[in-house]
Amino acid sequence: MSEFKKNAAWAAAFAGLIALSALVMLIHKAVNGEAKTAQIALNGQIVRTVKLEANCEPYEFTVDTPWGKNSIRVENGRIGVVWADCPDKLCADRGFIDSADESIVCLPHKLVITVSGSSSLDAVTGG
Amino acid sequence: MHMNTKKLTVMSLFLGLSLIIFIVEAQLPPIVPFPGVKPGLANIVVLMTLYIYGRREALAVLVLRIVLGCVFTGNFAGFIYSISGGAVSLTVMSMAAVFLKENRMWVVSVMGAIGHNAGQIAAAVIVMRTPQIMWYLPVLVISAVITGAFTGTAAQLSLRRLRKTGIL
Repeated sequence: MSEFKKNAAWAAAFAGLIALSALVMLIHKAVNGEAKTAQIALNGQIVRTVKLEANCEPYEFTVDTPWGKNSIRVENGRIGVVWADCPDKLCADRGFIDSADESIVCLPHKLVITVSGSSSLDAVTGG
Repeated sequence: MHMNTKKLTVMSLFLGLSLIIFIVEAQLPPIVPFPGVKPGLANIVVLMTLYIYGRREALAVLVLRIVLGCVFTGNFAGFIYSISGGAVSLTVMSMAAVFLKENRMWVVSVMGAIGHNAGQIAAAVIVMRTPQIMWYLPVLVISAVITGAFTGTAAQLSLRRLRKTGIL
């Protein structure tokens, strides 16, 4: 096989991998796109669960962790971290999430926000 | 690990180079709004070390870069993720490098990048005790293929130039 063909074959294989990943993302999104709740976990323990409804009054609350604080805002069927006192602010930069099993992770504070619907897949995967 | 003055010098230079790349990259604002998605430019140097000297030398550069990187950026929270990602990445690249020669370094780099991200996700699942984080893997696989191909090509072209100079 020529040099070009070898590179092309590998490129094709990796393109296939990208397509497969995108497909997994889409299927996962389609299966879990229902009535949603958001779970806020600290160090693996769920400390608060909030409903994400489309037309609810926006509100904010602050989660005090032993490692720092995160201000969380719930609005219009989505949830996001609006402020945190962690050094990198990646959780706040992540913006708002609204679909199942998207997550916001604040590594320094061991805080994880996940969104899930009440789909059968969650029961199967134990999520 | 056989060591002579020249090799020690080159490896020290490479360690310094990867450390600088790592620190500069950490200062760059995120390109896309997905945490964990970054170019991984420091791997260019590790990959070159792997092909010039071998896996043990690459491991030395990688581990020292991670430890010093934590010291210099002050981000010790990231250590567990760096080390687990790096360990999986270098293991995958060492095995791939047995079959793939210098003109296929970009392929090795993509495999290493996927390994790196898979290792980080695994560490996050264990540390956070939140298995749902695994659903983030497809995003990281896509980013790994793109960034891995880029850094691998950079390493491949750099090494080709470096060999032409006759320094190595």
